[in-house]
Amino acid sequence: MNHPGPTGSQVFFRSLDQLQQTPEFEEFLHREFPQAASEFPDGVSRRGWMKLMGASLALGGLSGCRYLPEEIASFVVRPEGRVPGVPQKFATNIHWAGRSLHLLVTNLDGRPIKVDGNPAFPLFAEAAPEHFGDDKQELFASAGSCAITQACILSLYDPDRLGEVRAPGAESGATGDWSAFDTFAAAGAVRLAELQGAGFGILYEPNGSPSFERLLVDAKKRFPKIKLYRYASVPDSLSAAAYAELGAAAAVNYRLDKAKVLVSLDADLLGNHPQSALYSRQFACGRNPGPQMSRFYCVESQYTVTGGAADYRLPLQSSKVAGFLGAVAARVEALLAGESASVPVDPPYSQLDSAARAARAIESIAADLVANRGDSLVVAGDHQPAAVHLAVAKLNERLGNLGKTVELRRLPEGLAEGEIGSLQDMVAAADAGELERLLVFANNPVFTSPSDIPVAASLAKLKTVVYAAESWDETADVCGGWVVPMAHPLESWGDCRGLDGTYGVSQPQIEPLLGGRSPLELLARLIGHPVVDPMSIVQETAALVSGAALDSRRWRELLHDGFLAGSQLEPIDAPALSSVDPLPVWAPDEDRVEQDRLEVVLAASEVIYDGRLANNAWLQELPQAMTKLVWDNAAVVSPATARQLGLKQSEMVAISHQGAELQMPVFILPGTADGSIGIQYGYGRSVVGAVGTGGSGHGAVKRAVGQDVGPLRRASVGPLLTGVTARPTSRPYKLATTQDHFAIDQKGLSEQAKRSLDLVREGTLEEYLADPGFGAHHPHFPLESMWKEPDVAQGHAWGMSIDLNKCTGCNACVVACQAENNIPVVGKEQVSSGREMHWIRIDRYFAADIENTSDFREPRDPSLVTQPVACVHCETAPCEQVCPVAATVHTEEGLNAMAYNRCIGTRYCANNCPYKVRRFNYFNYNTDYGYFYGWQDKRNEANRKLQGLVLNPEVTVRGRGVMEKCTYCVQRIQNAKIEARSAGSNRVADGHLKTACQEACPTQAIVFGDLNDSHSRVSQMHHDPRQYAMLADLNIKPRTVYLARVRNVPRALMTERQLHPNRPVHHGDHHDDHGHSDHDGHDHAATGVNRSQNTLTHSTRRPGGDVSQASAING
Amino acid sequence: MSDEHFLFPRWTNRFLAVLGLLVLGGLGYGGGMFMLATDPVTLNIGYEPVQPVPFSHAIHAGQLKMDCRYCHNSVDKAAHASVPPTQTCINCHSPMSPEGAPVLTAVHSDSSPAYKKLRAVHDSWRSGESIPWVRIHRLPDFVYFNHAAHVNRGVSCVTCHDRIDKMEVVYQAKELSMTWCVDCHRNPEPHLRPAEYVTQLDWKAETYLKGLSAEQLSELGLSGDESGEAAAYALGKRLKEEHGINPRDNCAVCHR
Repeated sequence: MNHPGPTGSQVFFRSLDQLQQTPEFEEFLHREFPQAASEFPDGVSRRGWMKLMGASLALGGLSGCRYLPEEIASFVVRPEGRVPGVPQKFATNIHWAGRSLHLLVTNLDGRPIKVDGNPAFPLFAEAAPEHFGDDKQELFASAGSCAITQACILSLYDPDRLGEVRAPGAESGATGDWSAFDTFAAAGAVRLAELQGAGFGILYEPNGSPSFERLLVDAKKRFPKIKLYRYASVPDSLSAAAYAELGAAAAVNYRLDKAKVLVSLDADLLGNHPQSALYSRQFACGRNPGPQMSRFYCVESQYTVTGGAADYRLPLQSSKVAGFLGAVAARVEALLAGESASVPVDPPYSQLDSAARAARAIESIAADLVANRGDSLVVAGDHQPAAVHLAVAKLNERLGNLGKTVELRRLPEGLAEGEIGSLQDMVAAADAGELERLLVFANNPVFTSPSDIPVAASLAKLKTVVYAAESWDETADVCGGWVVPMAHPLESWGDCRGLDGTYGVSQPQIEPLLGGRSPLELLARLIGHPVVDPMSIVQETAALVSGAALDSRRWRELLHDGFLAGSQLEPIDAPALSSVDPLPVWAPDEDRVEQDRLEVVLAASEVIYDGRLANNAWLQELPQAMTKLVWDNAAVVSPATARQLGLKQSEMVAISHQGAELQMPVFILPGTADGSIGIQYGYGRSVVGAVGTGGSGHGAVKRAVGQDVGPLRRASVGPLLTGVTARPTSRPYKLATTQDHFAIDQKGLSEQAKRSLDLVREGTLEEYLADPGFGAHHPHFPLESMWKEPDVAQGHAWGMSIDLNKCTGCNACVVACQAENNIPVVGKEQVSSGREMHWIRIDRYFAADIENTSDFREPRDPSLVTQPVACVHCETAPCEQVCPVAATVHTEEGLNAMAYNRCIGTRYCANNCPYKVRRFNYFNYNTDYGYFYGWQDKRNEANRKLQGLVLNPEVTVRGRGVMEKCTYCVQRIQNAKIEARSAGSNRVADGHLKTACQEACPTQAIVFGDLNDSHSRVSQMHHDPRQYAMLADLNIKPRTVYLARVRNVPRALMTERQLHPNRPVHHGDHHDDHGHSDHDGHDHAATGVNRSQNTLTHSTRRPGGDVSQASAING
Repeated sequence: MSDEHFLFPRWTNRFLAVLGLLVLGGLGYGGGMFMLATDPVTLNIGYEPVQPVPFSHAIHAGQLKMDCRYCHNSVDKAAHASVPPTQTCINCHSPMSPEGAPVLTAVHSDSSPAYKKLRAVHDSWRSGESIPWVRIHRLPDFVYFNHAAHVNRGVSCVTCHDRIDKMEVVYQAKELSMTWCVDCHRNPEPHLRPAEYVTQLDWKAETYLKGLSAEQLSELGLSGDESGEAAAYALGKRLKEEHGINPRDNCAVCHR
């Protein structure tokens, strides 16, 4: 077996398959286009294909050369300010998949086509990751967003949304209509008043809307006997509850930007979290390397985006986090009492066993927390029990963080806690016959509720149910009452509060496409509220929030800005919390995995949330941040756990817990805590639209996407299950993951690493302070160009930089790019063949120390670096040299342009691209299979037109047989240039042009601009000492460069290689001798230092001073 | 290894004829495709569809000398020149009020014989439905043309649309093919004029230069004696330098 490195080295790898060089990985490597890449999707026979092709050829001959008549539908009265074809941006605030989003929606000719964060929204504006110190802050302002936010636009044009009112008792397919429903609602409201609400109930999910809450309060006041049940499909974080229990009932939000030391205990604030965009943005504020850089500890069981971004990460079972916290708290108390910290450096951290590692982490964390009192922050994850949250709250208080890094704000007035029941209360009331009529404003409770709450059975017992549904789902299927379509949040009036309480209004961006109504209007009608117009309801609420009725001017201002300035909730300064019992201090036991003493950590899916986004193909096909899985969920385990339990990748494992049993496909992920199984729920929807029931093959039998985790989810147990049994079943299951796609083979890697270091580069802060250019070594042999060097001194020279120190791998850019550039979705089958179309892939590399050969099998505590890779627009691009038809050519401004209409699909360019960023349309994904949607079903014309509305008209929709790749958002470049020229300037000023990925990046890791402008931000980044170009040794001069990652690891927790990074090792085996001392520059002429490397490895000097040196190791 | 060369057996000779036929056929196919692709019908030259409203550009832009931008008012602001909303027509051609009086100026009131020409406009105004204009000048979907970029830099409407002010019914007069676009991008001088004259379709560089004072001419570096194409070229060259007009001919200019 060829290992990518010798023992005693640090290895970067994307997957265990790569680390171990398994046949699966080899297969991806050795075929430029993976096996079966030239095969048809499942279910299309060769004969069928020939028929299709024959027909399309014949038709093509008839129609291909003629324009069909086209109509222009002009306005009768053109709206004021509207210029056809010119996008407008509108601010709005929506509640979407459990998160309040503050958005700027790009609206083109009356249809929203893109969403981005609203950078003016106070919490976002306060935490702008700025370090340039120029006056372009306003120009570069972008709030960033998350993948789920970016994808909300696709759900708007989902033809599977409910488009009609279904009356009770009607045969499936029979429809009611709004007038019938209104009659029903009016009669119901009268009855409601008669009975004072007795027997009536409202089941609602927290939707952050003050107006909705106001209607509920109104209902409760007018009908005292009405019952309100609140149900969150993804349980609320217990942190606010913890503060409440300790005497400070408050809205809690964190200020990561103010924290110098961050400790995350199983909390995925930067990844799978409703406010990940905000927290990532705040986090990035402290990530500019330098003495003031923040330090981020992460202790967690599953590898999360947060853990990847951390400076130091300790894998620890979630069930042991309480003990760990107890130990930290105890040490903090001791240090506060005057004890001095002892954080030894010897022996190096990497030589410790896991108990000693944890002990040192505890000591180091406690010391840092105490040293940074008031500037530190401890956060616990949502699946941790209440006791942990209580202890965290107390610890933050003891450290003086309250009011600083933990902002507590007085809660707005609303429903009292006692007035609200739970889902269980609803079920109990229904069973007892106390509840007869129920209005459901919660998304699909039948599917999303824990399996020990029999919601479906209870609904069946009720006399009348009204379900406001987004689409026809499991709940609609069983409720047997009225099912009425709810408008998409982008279609409806509404409102929500930001984390700090800032009030924002949701204004509809388009009339409801499928005739749905906003939840405000539905609720108002059903409870007989005097005002049913949702805009008026919101206006009333806005008046209440602002304290006075808004005149038309202020109302328009509110809509324009997206928020009501000064409407933040009143902050509470450092309240005194009541004391808590100290957590039992954890005694680390041995590293032992026992088959029946495992834990399972359940979390809502990072892409499809609780399942409600299952019909969103962008999200289904988004490679999940850590596993890079698409179209599936899996049981994620560590390599050691898998070995000890006999589990294999892509085989089912039977998991059982207290009688509940579930089978899940196994995914082995290094860095997962041993004995811990991570499972995301939301998959396995049975009643869902075309995307959610398929995507696994052309013409395949419909089946649910992923596994329903239902049996394991029980309210009585919670999201953290202990004492779980797992056994292998050896039943195969095909998982599609992109982690090994577009990798470079070992020989190539070793050659290139010899010449110009690794693809990803990282170092410690200590190393950076000593030598900021640690990662910037350039190939030092003479680079001779085979081609005529382009003259780039004139005009613009577009370039990009990506700061790996800020990139968390959150995937927002991937979906933003998809939305901006009309990138098709291809389905699980096609992804398995390596045909995914995303222009940006986020390579996530594990970095592990290899001490002995067993580390190849089970790398210990690997750290992680993420690296977004899209076309880097090489100045002497290899792809261009091999295109036989000049379909990919260079522009004067350095863009590697694609002329789709010229491309004949030889794929030579993809073959010759060293970065593997070119994507080929094997099929007419966008037209034959529907836009991002339903490739199994030929959609009818109306639905296709609806889907097509999401397309960006500024970008060509590519057809079959055409190569495509990142264009640096050429449409934005051209439009910015035209705009600049119309304004009388011949240059686009810095900051007037942002690419879609840059705009979506919550941490502003991506900077784009003109390299010929020496003051542009991107120029500054290109001259940053950390700057390096990937594969610089090929002398192709990429325009996208990376900034090496810097980890602020305390010395006590540094591995041996971090303590002795030993970069400037020089072997005189070839080329002239460069000292390291003259390494000053960052231009291509700068001297670099050879580092003997093999494959992915850093070569390292052993303490004794010898250097591992090998060109190929056969182990 | 033997040093014998590989030779095709004799029987393969008969394939020479087949090969020749294939080559001929290929040439014929290629030639046919070329002719088809460059055929005026393919290029849509002369495409003159019947519009729902028999609007005469010859009257409005020609006789009445209305500026193009009165109706196509986004031509200098956006990619699309945009077809005017019905409201723009109604500014002059408002329908009668129910009492029989013209609500606004009624150039052609309901009673006039020309009314039937306006019927579609008035129907649209009353019903709120769009007038279904038929698009004449069309580029493929993968081509991105921006009116503002050209008009603001002094490329006149007439360059691409010809003398619309003389057309009773608008038709496509120019090829609008890729070579045609690229020719101009590579040689823009004859097509440039001072931006304020872009909508003056009968503008002539020669006449324009004649109207300038000697001082203005010397400012432009021209003698005023230039005539015809030479005048247009000389002026265009001057404008190109002055405004830094440097049209590109790379793919990304039009293809995104």
